[in-house]
Amino acid sequence: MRAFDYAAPRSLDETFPLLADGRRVRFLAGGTDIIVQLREGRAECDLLVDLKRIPELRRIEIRPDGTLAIGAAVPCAEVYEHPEVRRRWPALVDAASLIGGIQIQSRASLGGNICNASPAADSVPALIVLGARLVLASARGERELPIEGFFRGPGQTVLQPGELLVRIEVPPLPPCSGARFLRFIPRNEMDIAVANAAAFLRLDDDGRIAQARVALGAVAPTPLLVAEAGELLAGQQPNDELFARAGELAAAAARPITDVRGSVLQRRHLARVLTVRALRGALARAQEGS
Amino acid sequence: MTTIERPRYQVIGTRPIRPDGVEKVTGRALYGADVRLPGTIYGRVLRSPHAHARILRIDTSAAERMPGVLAVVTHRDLPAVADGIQNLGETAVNVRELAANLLADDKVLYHGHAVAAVAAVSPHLAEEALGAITVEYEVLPPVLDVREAMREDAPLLDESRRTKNIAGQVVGERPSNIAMHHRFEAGDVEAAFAKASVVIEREFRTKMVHQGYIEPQNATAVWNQDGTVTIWTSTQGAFAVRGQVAELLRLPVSKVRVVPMEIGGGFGGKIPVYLEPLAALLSRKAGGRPVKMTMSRTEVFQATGPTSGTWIRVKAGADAEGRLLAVEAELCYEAGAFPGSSVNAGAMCMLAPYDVENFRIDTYDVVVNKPKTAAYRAPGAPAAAFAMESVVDELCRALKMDPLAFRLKNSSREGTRQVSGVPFPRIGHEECVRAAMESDHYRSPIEGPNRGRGVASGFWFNGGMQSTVLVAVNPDGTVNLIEGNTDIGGTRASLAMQLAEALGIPYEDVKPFVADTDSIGHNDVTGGSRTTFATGLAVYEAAMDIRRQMVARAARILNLPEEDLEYVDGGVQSKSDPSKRIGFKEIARQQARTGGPITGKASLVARGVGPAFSTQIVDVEVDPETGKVTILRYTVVQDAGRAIHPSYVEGQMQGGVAQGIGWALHEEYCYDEQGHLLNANFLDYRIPTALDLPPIETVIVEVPNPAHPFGVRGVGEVSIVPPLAAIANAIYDAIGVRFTDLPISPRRIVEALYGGKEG
Amino acid sequence: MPTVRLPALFRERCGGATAVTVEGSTLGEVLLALDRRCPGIFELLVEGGSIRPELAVAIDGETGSYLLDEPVPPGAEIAILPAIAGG
Repeated sequence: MRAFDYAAPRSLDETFPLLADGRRVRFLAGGTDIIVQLREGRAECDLLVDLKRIPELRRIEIRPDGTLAIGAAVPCAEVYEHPEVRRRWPALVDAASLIGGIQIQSRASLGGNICNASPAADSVPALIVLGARLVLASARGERELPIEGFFRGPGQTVLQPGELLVRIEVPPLPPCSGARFLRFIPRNEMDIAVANAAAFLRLDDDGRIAQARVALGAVAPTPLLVAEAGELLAGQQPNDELFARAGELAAAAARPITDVRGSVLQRRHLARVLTVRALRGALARAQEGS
Repeated sequence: MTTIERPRYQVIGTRPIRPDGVEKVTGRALYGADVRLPGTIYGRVLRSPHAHARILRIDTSAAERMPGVLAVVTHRDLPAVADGIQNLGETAVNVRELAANLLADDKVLYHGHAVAAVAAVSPHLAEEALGAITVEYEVLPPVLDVREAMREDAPLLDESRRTKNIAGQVVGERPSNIAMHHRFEAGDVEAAFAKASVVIEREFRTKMVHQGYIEPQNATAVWNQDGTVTIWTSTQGAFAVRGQVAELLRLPVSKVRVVPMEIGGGFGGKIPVYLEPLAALLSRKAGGRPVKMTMSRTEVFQATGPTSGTWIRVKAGADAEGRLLAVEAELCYEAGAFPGSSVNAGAMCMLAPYDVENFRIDTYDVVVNKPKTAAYRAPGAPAAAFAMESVVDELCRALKMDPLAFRLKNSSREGTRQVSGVPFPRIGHEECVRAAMESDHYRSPIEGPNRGRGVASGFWFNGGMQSTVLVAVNPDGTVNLIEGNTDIGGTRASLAMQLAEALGIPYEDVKPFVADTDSIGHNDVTGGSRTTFATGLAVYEAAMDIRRQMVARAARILNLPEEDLEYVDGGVQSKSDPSKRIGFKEIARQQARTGGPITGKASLVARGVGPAFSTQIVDVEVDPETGKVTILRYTVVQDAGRAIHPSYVEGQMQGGVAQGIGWALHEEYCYDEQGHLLNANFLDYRIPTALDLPPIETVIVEVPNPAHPFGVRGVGEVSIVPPLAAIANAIYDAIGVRFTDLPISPRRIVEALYGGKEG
Repeated sequence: MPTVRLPALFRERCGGATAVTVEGSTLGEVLLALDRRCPGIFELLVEGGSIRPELAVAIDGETGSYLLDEPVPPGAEIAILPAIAGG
């Protein structure tokens, strides 16, 4: 590991000037990815900026309009232990409680999981189907975008130099809706998804699907929103046969690779299996809520 | 359960707290990483990025010029070592190859092969200095798979290598990666197959796997001004380290002192040296500063010794009554970069559960561009048993015969000849199979879709070898037990219990201490499941030595002739008048006045090794959509001879099964085509977590070893032998697919069920 | 007289026999006697005055690192096998 400078600003205003002098900057929240990468020489930086002392990045807040706003440096454990998050956004709890073990969850942040931009990031498919938006900030001000537009490739995002993720905003779940996130790992813990999937369903008064979203991870260079599955499902009566067809669309949308964690065949197959299972889970939650 | 009635013991068979327990659970126990000497500097190793390359040039001058860098070594700094052989316990090691594995000479032979080492005032500086070393390589095509390496047109790791037999005779004309070929043969195999009503022939593959000990290799060395070397390290055998270091550095053993620290697992992998000689050489170059070296997990995977990947063909035939008539097999084991796999051990284990008169087993020890293999728990046996026990399962299905009934019918027993021609002493395979048949597990039905049950048996020789112990009686009546075996699996407790039993004193009054190589006579490694048996024999003899002295001292105190006295229940009493008695503590208290300190000792080569068998039952459920295998229930039956401390015996049984489950379902070294190891970390090299293992039920069978005063057999290794086949057999039972390649990972199951290799 | 059981690779040297009974009261004497029946076998088994480290010898079922002066009981059975290591 090469020597680097470390800064721990107390506000965003203190942060932006640190990003302006041309040094290669990496951000530290939980550090569960970046510290390992620096130690193994997979990442290098001149300056490591610790974001944990910036209060607005450490807050979870539910706004009057029902939007959930999660500061980029909030650890996963604070997300899944939050009573309102548990009640209103269980799919987010599915995801946040699967990232690493207890020790990791007490450090690792959703923001870090997103910005690390692993195709297998467990928080992302759930946030995609929940319609989450990301708020990015720089000295020039803030901008926001839907999370599925944030990724450019493995480890690559739309973040500009001098810009950082400050907040994740999740809209309130409409009535009669539910979402579920699932992943497949070979073991039962301490593993990275071979594939993962999330589904969101909103039902109308007749129990038909009014709106659906399906997202996949670890089966393409970036997490995928499978729009065609949502289109297929919308307006239909939910049943196994329909879900199986949605699973086929998900498998067809997958563009997996073979690597040490899984093969093309296995990942495409899992995209289908997990989509069907996530849809069933989302349906159960939607029906529970209605 | 108890197979044979046990004598009434006071200590043996109880479950006291281990002597090292408090230190370990409070974090006070000292491991190699805890060694902190004044003036310590830190060593790091430069490793090859290539699997196979010629080294054209190494330039260390820039690194040597860096401020804070105090020493750099390459193979040129290794004292020239002739092509000699040194005996490491029973492992024959070619010193030239040991040296070339330590620091590559003209070629690097695997990804991660050490090329140079640096010592600097900080670990980070040492690492930066590695980057300042220039190495020019001529990259060569690697050969990674045992069958590929055996082809005549395969890239050669060593152009001068010719295939030899076990007597060292060259048996092949051409250069070859096949270092050794051997054949075990008896009876008339062809005639026997002709009589068989069922013959099954299959090919099996297993991947290279690692022991996965939690504590990485480490060493701190000081080259003292008087020319002696002191080494603190994590090892299974301080004397084995002393011998290897002395050989590699051309020093007399008396100049090398090895202090064994506590050890965080070894499983056979901590017998060879990797860092110790480097730390010593760096210390010498750095003017005698202590040099501390610790491997990262990546280095452990890349450059220490895993066990072989294998290709095995087995053909077995049985008659209509279920008698095993003949077995033919070929075993090809990857030795890694240098010869010396455990292929012959595999061959000698695979048929051990059976009494079969006709067999022919060909073994091949093959070098490939992967790390040099080391011992791993029952080395060689699990892969061979995977193949044989899978074929036996198929024979049983074809014969519609209960697989345990088949094993009982064909079981080896006392007098059965092993494939080596050596007859078995009293063994307990039949008793294990019977206990498995009578277990609650086997009597309970397995029901439900995608669920299945498998069984398998396994064998391991166990070891004897050399041990020394010293026993000193303290004036307060407690006893110091000084021994030279690192405590990996509870041997302080098992040895202290044997001493307490033999002396008739409380377990708590025995204080075991693991000494360094300057403080006690030779001890072979804590390995081969030998310590509780072999060092236990030495403990027993030393106790008899103490008892004789106690009788002599009592004679003086009681003023009675020695002939009238006998040692009974922790004291000495008159044979003619047992009321004339003096206790152990009182004799101890008076020792200064009766002739001075009472000490006992024993040194021996342990004879009468009791071999071990295990029979195991596993129930699995397979998720046919994801390929995930859940172990529903697991029972391990094992003959322990006599369980000194049943909890630690059960721990060994469960530990071997846990490793076997990982090997069966998940663990494998993954390489790309250039020979880069892709999963050198615990994230992608998947050992089972606590959540992946069911409670592992244990059934201890006790068929005492007649050659040990308490009946002890080694218990450390055999439990890893049956799981690979037991699980494969259970998966077949669950989903009707016979897996002959390990690991049976979710990926392989999905690919088998849903077709094709790639989608 | 002791009997030596031969691994397959030495049988050719001994006219195909799987076991040979020879005179001798020490391991060395037995192996020299064996060599008279199966010429050249002694130097295959013994290197520098000791059994080759790649090999092990079992005397009446007891496998060990024996010296050549190891006493061999009358009627003993001697087997020659590859050396093995434990973990």
